[in-house]
Amino acid sequence: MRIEETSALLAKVQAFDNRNVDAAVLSAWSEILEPHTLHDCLAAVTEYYRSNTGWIMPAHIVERVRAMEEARQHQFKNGCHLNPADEDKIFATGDSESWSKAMRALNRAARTGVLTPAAYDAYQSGDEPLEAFLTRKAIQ
Amino acid sequence: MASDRLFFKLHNGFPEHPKAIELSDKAFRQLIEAWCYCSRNLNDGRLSKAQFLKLFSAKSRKELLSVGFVMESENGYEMHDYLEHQQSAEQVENRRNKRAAAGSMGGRAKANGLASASSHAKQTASKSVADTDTDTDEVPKGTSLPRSRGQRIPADFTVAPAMVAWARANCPNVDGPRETTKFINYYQGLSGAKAVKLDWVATWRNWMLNAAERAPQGKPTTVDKMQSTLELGRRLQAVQDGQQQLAIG
Repeated sequence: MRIEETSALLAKVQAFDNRNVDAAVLSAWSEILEPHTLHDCLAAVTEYYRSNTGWIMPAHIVERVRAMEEARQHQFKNGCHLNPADEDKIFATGDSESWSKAMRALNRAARTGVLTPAAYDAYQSGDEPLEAFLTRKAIQ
Repeated sequence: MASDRLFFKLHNGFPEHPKAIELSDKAFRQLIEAWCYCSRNLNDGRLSKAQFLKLFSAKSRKELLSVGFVMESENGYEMHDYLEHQQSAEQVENRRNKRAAAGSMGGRAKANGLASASSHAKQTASKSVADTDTDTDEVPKGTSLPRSRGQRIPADFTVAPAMVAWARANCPNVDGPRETTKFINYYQGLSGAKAVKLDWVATWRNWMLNAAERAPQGKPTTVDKMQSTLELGRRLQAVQDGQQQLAIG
């Protein structure tokens, strides 16, 4: 999540608790929430205030966002794997770091909801590299 | 309330005055009675022989003439230095005429005020109502009218368009209708001197200025804060993007 998106999240929080936000507050929140998406964080704020009246902190959001991400990942019964085209391409380079980087991107896509189980099936049955596949999905 | 009673001046050290000490009780009393008589009859301290004989006993006449409180004159007798200390008949008459004129003006002004639907007209009218409370009050020098009296808040006190325009210009943060209601309620419920004012429009303006001082000045609303946060985010993002471009470059 970019810092501009964090400001949108904090604006929503202000709507609930009328807190004061300055550059320091924004930077601190942005540092913690950077790995997560704005969509999930906004949903986490809504969920928090649905059952709480207290002062919300980044930890409250991270806790809920992680629960959402795990729930998404559990939808992939057999885990997530690169498709044959990506595997061949990475094995050809012989670079283990490239393999780790590609797997992290795949898992992140699955956890954040960018890659749904149906999209994953389409990715597995095709020969399109993950990055190109996700870009095309995003454009669509 | 106006009073037609007249008073005459008597120094509080008079009983110890060297001349007064020489008088018998009877002569002293008759001297006071004679001054009262002169004041009541506006004769400027002059007594005919008949009056002189009627007012004083033979012994008192002798005492008063000898110490000099009463003096013989061409047409009879005269109280010593009466006009030096007391008002002359002419002065009393002038004062009565002025008071009558002021009362007449006040009555006309009150009538005009009742006829007018405008509270402002009442305010103006009230300024010319005469003060006829006390006998010793004098008309202020340099003015043709006596001092004005205040009045309680008019029952139909309303805020004229000009007053609304003034409030918008001078007290923009004040809830005008609410403060006006509070103003009317306060002065309708108040008793005593504080409930009487010369100029209710000016009093209302003062109330509004006080309300403006109490009103929160420029406190940001939640929406203001949210907009500020979004603007801050855009600014920091631009800075961050600029730094990244520099790093790439």
